[in-house]
Amino acid sequence: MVLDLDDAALLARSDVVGVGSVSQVRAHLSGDGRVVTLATLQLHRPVRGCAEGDALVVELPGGELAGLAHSVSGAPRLAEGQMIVAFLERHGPVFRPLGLAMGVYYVDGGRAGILSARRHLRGLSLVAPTPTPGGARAGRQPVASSEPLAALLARLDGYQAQALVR
Amino acid sequence: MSRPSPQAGLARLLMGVLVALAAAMALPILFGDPLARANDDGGGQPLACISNQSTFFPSGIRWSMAPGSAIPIRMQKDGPSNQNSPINIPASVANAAAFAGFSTWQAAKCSTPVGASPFIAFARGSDYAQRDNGDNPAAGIYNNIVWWVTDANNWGADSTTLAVTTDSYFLDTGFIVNGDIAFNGIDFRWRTTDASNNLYGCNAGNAICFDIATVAIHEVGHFLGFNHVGCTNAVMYPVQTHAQQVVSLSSHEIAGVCALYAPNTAGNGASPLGGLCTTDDACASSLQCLLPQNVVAGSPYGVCSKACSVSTDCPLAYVCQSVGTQGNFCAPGVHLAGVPVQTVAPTGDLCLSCRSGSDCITGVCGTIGGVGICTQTCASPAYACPRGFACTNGATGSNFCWPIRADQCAATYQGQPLNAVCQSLPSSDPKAGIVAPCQAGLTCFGFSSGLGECVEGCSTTDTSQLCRAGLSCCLQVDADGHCVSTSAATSAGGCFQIRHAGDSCVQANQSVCDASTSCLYIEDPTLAKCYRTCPAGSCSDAAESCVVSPSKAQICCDTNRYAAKDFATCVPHAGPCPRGIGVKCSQNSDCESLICLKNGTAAACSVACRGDADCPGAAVDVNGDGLPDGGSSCIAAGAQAMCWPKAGPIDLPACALVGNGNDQAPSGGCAGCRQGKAQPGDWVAFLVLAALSLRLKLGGGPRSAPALGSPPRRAWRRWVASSRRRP
Repeated sequence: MVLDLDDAALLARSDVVGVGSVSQVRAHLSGDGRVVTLATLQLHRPVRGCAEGDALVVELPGGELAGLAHSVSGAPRLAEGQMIVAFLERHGPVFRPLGLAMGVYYVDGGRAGILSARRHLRGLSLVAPTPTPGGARAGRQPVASSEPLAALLARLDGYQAQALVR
Repeated sequence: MSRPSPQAGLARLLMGVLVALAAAMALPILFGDPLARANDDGGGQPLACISNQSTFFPSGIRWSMAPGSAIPIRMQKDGPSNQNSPINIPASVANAAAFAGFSTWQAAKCSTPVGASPFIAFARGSDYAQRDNGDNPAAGIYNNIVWWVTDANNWGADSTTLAVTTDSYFLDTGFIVNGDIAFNGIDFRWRTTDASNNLYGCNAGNAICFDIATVAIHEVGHFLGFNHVGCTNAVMYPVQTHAQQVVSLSSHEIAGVCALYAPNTAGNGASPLGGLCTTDDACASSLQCLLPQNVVAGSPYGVCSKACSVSTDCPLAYVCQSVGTQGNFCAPGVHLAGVPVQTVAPTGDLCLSCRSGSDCITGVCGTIGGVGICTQTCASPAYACPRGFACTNGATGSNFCWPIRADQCAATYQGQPLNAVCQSLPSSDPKAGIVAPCQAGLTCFGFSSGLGECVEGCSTTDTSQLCRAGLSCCLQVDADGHCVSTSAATSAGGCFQIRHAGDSCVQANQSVCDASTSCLYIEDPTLAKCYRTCPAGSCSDAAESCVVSPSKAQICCDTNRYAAKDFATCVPHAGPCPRGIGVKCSQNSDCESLICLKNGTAAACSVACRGDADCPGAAVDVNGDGLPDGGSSCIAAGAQAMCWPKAGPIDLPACALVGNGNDQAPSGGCAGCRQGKAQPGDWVAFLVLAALSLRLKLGGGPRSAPALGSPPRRAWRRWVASSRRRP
């Protein structure tokens, strides 16, 4: 269950935003008994808080170890070779996606060879970040959203530029 | 067969988990894999409010329990942290509100039989003292905990996440063995009412103030194995608001829990479909007891199931799933269009390679055709083997379970791929060299952590086992992170890429820093780079200053960039532009390979090869200008075969040739010569820029490698060297 933030708000709350490729995905047992999945994100296109070529360790809750799956509802999944746009919050030496699956767009080949960015929000519960009239349960359902990667990056660059101006 | 105690069963499970842990860590996660549980519908499908029997979305997993039992739930004893709320919430009130979520699901009244309760029950256990999930998988300790997070580092989520539910389940049966619910007590506020309707906690008008019971009942739905439903009146509707208060199940959830946890009508204490069992006798008639693959026969983690041909043979919330020689059985899941029978591959202990029974937690090492794998004994083909295994008779005459398909133990037979983690144990360990082996041609090169990395193998004495161009044969990586290429003890090693001052060394990727640098980081292990050290107090590069860190390490920093005298700004000055294979040279020392091959009047850096594949390809940039250089061929050079540039020796980029002709990099390093920003493919270029031979420095004992996921070190900036040791 996460706050339903738009991309501008996600970016503003992120320590790092960028496009990168995923490698070295593996489940890991943390010192405090949590099973987490660690993945290396090699950044190719920084948007905020990072530089091209940076390699970050992304921590996702859950994973599969020794025949047991540890599943966290709404958590994103990463696989080696994927390219993603990530909104990350720093926690010590690792970075966590902001808002679980909200913080990850998967980049894939769209129509006519145009790269598209798409979210997978199945399993995620969204919470309106501001009061709604009468407490209504309106608002968007966490369905897939997809747009050309270039358009998404242009929007994010715009948000980042506004943030810098402020 | 006598029923083992749950403790004994858990101990066996734990042993399995412990032994398989390291091996499993090396396995790729099955995300998106068709063999994964059926809880992934591909993601992103629009949710619809459906009014027929599919008004809920089981995620493919469920709890199991024996008749008359209950699943213990422990509440963290301190409750929310009362973050400046108008009225503090007593822990007892908060925990009662949260536990009510379990009670509500349990109290659902099903229509078949009319008024019957679902076959699920919870019992509140003793309060839990710590603020964590109460689990220690390495020690085999699992607790079902409901708790409020007060330390951002120990729950795995972020500041925008309100609550998370974790279910741990067997991959093959879908049987949940542990669950936890964590409420974010750091970034959100909480409110509730007690039995007398007294209000506690934050003000409902506050946008980050949430009702405990409302959030709890939704999270318990996930705890039970449900996804969301697209009906706005449902508890499992995926959109919430801070003002919302929904504490009773809708018809959708009632239909769901009554299907996935259908009322037990078996009678006589027998377990119904999905109920707990250790033997077939525990199950209702026509059902069999299926064991998860990771536990041995007799463990209390079996589930009763029924045979099926297609998924429509199974009740709602179940699918027909292949279980090897046992046939197809109903397991919790979602019917997928066009998939009449779903399959799950076995994983875990039973696929580990072995030499004797002492290598296996079951004590049974089955051997057929010279291949040994950990397995278990079996009494009859129809019963005792886990799914994917059949009872067979080995050379010893004893019956044991053997994989039906060779690819069911792919990790044993095929090994781990390049750069994957493998387990490397001391030679004194009886499992050394046999656990989680690497694919053919790769060797498990050990790190100080006991785990290793699958790298290409090489030999310093066998010319048929040379490293590819650009990689060096290291027999050991010493405590300073340097390649050791000579050893009296062994001639077998791994191929590594040598990186230089300023290069990232955060990932192993078959890389080590060159002899003049060490892999270090300031605060953040994810930003580790190769730094020059200056134990004598001065740096060989005039553009660098020798800086003494708080931990007394002496490291060279780029003088210009260190102007602020802040350690965080200490970065290495880029080194000389490299001369890779094919670049013009005049003497051996010009080349990173230390071989300047003369061919007539021309000379180029070269390396021994077995064929063209060992030489740089046409697309590879060998001189650091960011452009492809046409590649090299493997040609005869006297008694040896050597790489030679197809288009003749390649010049260094003009911008690198500064001053008196030395190839010292300009400000910004060789990368500054490039036509644009570095591209992802630059790592390919690095492969051919690395050295084959090095002046080596033998160091002391191994140190610990940077620990991923370790707490931040903020007291002072710390410098740590990464290290590996020989396989």
